[in-house]
Amino acid sequence: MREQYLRAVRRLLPRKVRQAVVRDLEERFDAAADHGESEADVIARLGTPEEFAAPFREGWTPALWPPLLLAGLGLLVSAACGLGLWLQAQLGGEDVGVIGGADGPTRIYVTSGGVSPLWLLLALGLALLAAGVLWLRRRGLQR
Amino acid sequence: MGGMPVDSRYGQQFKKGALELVLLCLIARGETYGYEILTALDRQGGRIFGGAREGSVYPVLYRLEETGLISSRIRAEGGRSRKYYAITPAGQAALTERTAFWRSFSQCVDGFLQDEEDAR
Repeated sequence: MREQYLRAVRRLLPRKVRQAVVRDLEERFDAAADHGESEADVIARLGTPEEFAAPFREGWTPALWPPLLLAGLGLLVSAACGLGLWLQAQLGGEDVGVIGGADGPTRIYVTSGGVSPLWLLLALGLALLAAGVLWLRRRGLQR
Repeated sequence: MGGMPVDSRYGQQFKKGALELVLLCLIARGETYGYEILTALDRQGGRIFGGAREGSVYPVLYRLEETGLISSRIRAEGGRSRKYYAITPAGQAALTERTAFWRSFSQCVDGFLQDEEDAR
């Protein structure tokens, strides 16, 4: 109960006061235990996590530029890798001939073996983009 | 002593202003910590501040510390930590000033109310 409450409050608090307020709450719960107060009693006094965190959020709006920056970076990396991979596909192969009949000939290219590191970097770029978007969504909801 | 409940919006505004003064006064008595402060409020606060909740008290403590009227230090005690608050010289000065303000404020309002009562 206590850990759940602390987690919920922590998520709502501005970074500036987060550590101090959570520490104070932990002290409060410890004091409760010492005086025969239950965790439920304390939580009843504190109110919901939203109610308790409200005074600390007054006049604070979470900045959107950090998640935007991350998403932008992810987009940039993904786009660069996508372009690189496309270029690689255009320039890389050695045309060794055609197989198949008149109804569906297939050109065969030979490229160097192994997975291009660009795929890895593309995956990283997409991951950064996804992380940035999720973070942006969370901050947007917090406002 | 009937009349307006202290939880009304009117009462709430009054309490906010006075709570800072009360907390400053409690901390000036001697170094203290959160739970002790809440207990003192319960004990002495009657219908006004008795049962004042953490949600009202903690933000005021932060504001007092931010403005340098109180200071805090954290002592580790057997696996836990406890934050002790003490009044600063600036806080002592503010307490004196605000107490004087409170007295003249309430005297002034009492004056008007007394005239009103006398007139009836």
